[in-house]
Amino acid sequence: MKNKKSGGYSFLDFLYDIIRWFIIITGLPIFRPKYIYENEAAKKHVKGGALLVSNHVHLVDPMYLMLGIWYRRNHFIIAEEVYNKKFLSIFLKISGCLPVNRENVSLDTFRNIVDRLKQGRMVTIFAEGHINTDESKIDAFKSGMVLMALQSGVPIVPIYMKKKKHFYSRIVFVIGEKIDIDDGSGKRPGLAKINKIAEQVHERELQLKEIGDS
Amino acid sequence: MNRQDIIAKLAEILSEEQEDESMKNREYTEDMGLYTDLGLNSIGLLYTVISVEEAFDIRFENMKMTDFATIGDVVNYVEKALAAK
Repeated sequence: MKNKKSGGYSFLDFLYDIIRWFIIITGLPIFRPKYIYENEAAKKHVKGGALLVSNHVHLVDPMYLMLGIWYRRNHFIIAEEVYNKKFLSIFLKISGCLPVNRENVSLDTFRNIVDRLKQGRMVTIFAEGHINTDESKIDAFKSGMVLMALQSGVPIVPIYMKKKKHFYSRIVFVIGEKIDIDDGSGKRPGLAKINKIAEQVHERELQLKEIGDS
Repeated sequence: MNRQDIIAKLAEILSEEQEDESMKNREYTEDMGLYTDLGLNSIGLLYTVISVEEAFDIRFENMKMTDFATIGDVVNYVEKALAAK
């Protein structure tokens, strides 16, 4: 399935860019992202639609990822209860965040995410489904992300973010090579295979963690 | 397409999704629970809904995964959607 080239540049994109560049200009000198790449291929910036799959260690991870992937507009899938918080709501709406009810996934939400990806945008999902402050492990990934990538025909880009020791510590990202999960057969794999792919992406994330921790 | 045809087609879709071989050839009835009897989780049901949309060429609107508890609920929805086409 080919990606649509562009979803167009909307007024919300314009507002998001203002916020994004403000965060980038003020945040980059403070948090000084450090990148470690899994291999040479991982150094290449992914163009077009892509589903960034990350671990989730801080509440403000979307902001850190905005700094880490500063060269692209990035839309974050976040919990509905956070999205609906009074003061955050306007900012999150402008930022094109995609709210998801973790207990009861809505089909419209799923379609919305797939549409963004098909438009050639980058969407980030914290596939553990919650903030995990335990540095020793990365919890199992939800398989919904595989279905999102399959339905939109975009690759998955695994990224591991190290937990910061202090507020002013550098953010360390370990970036993996993109994973193309579409086998080209034109047939959607079964549920068992989808769960297997989710496990494989989780394995890759653990490898990135190992690289980051070494 | 009558109700029996819808159930038969739905049974085909559900059979394909079952990981357990012994579950593939089972009989599917309307009162069967999607979560309770077939062991689907929310992603499994989402997958099923997408497959059903493609198979029947319909579109599910404004629904959440908990809207469907049994095979009969899905059949009801498909029946209405086909009638409205």
